[in-house]
Amino acid sequence: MLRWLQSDQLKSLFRLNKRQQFFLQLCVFVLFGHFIVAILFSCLYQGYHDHEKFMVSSKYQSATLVLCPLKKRINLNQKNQKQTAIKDSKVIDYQAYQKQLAEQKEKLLAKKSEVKSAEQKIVKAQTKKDIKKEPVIKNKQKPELKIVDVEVASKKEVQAQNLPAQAAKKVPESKKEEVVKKELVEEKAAEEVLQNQMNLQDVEFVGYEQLDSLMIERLIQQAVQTFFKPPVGIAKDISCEVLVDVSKDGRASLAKVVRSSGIVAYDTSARAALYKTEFPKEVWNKTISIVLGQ
Amino acid sequence: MKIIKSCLYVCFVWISVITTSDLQVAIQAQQTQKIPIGIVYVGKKNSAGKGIIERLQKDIQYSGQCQVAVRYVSSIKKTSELKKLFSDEVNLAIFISSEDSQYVWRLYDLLMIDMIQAGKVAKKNQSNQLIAHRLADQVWPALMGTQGSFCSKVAYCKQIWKRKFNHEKPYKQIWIADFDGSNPKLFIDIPTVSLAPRWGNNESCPLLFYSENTLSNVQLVMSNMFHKRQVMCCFDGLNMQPTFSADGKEVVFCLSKDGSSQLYHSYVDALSKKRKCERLTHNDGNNIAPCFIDQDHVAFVCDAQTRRPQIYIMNIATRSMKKITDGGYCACPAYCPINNKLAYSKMVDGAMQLFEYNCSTRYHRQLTQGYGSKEEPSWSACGNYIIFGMNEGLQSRIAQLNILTGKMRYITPSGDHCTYPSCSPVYQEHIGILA
Repeated sequence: MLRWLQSDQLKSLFRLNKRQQFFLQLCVFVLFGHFIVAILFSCLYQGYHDHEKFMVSSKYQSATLVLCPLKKRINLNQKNQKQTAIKDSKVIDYQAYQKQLAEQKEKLLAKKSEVKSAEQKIVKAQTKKDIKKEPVIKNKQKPELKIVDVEVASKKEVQAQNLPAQAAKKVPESKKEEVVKKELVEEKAAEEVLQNQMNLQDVEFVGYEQLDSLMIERLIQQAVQTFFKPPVGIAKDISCEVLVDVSKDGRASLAKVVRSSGIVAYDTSARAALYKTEFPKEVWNKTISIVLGQ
Repeated sequence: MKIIKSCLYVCFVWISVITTSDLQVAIQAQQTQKIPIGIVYVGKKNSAGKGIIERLQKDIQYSGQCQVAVRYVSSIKKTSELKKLFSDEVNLAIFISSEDSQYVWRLYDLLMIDMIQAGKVAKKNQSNQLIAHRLADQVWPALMGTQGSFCSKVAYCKQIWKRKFNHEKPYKQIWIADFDGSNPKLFIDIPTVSLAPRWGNNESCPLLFYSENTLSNVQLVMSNMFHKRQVMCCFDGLNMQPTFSADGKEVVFCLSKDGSSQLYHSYVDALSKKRKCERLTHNDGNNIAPCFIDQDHVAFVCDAQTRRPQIYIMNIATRSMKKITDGGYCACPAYCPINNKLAYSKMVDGAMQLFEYNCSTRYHRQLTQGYGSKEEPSWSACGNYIIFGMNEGLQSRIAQLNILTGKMRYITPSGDHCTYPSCSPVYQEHIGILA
């Protein structure tokens, strides 16, 4: 093997001594070995090679995406693989997610404790009533007295409720407006807080590579959707897959239908839309596979 | 050295190939549009060519899925000229040219300047309209991936009033029109009521079956496209509504000779090789409007069990019946083998509305809404349209529902009283009145 390296012509050409000759032989052998391994690897890998997939469920269009920065990608459910990309999902850091989760847990615990205490109070009140009811059966006059007490109490309560109303009547109108404004501002702030609150029940964990690809997908979607107008009245399950070579200027240099929809008009409208689209910088000079569906 | 260099070069190429990552993105359409398509007539502009192109334009635009632009050119010398014919919006074009005894069409992708498909239609003394329909029938599957039914015809009854013995008497004629209601021709004009036309499904031999009122009964009559009539069945009472199996050998029809209307099955006996007729239904109700679903099953209307007409499916071999509708007043089933669906009418809020029943999923779906009774549905040969009789007050017109777009349009004029529409299959030869 590698006898051609031992030829006199080569020796005279490079003027190599035996040691150098040996190292040259070794280098070439290693390079050749790598080449063979690489070819074998590429041949074997071809079968398993898969496109990087971004497809996220339309169910998760408003879901919260939690970024796990130490992981490249987290396996999404099989359901998600079939469906479309995200649109309005919110992305939060894993730490922020845990904080919010903890806050929600605390709130839940607080609520639970409140509920418990309320229940305990009710139970106590019931037990007191039961205790009081027993003598009532014995002595029938007491309940009448009790009713009077309750009536008095209710009257007092009604008076207490009416007091702020009476006070409000006395407050001048300018102050009233201020109060109303304050209330409106508070309501708006509360609404904003509610809007900003993440939906922690509908959470999808993604790795940093996945998040990047999702963002790119969103950009591509926005770019293509403006131009993609398939024919009216085509079945909803129709889709075609187009392989697009994006050039250095962000335009499609070649759009080739890899999987046809079976409808020439549909495939052509898909390709025409891709030729019109200006792709985001992230995919310039790359080949992307786009599935265009109804 | 050359070998080392070439090895290094191959390694570099391989590495560059491996490192380029391809991305896959799924995109859903947010809006749809009419696909712009161009039609180009190549050759000398004459009245025949113009007539064909205009009719073809109407046909392609009919479904509401395409917007067609037409150009006439004397010749095309270079492929680069193709792109200049239309604006950038038009990416598909049909080129039509007249050769000795045929018209040749070529469907081109203008983005790549690549021919997708081509075909030809023989002239054969056919009318311009028929040639255009034949061209449309060939181009449509290549373009939209579904069958076309531009060559099919619609038969329907039209009520007229004639003066007889100083009295105005209503008669019903049978008319045949193109798939879109254009080019109507009077087919049966005898001084009686001719009703319920149904087409035979033998594609090589177009026949029309209908019922005629006589003084004693309603007889079943067959007519070829040259107006030659023959009585098929003449028992007492009603002899109506024949339906044919896919191979055309078996017939199921209604007879009311025993009192109420019952279904009868006519077939060729395998042993004696003679045609036999057997009664299929044995009940005290009315059994009407049969239609073959497959070789063994027939859908029909029966009111024996519920006293309100419901749709049943019967296995001809076992005679077992299965009710597929519940409640309401259901009538007129019509089966489409292309989409395996059954269309029927059902009373909803005092008006008959069209429904479809998916035979594979057993799911019912309401197709129409609004005022007016929609009755007697019939599927087009392509399965994309349902034609039906639309009754509004005293008026009755034939309307067509586009299943793809959900749009409805009338195909008969408002003054005419038309009922019982029936769509023909796409016949191989258009003879007699069909030509």
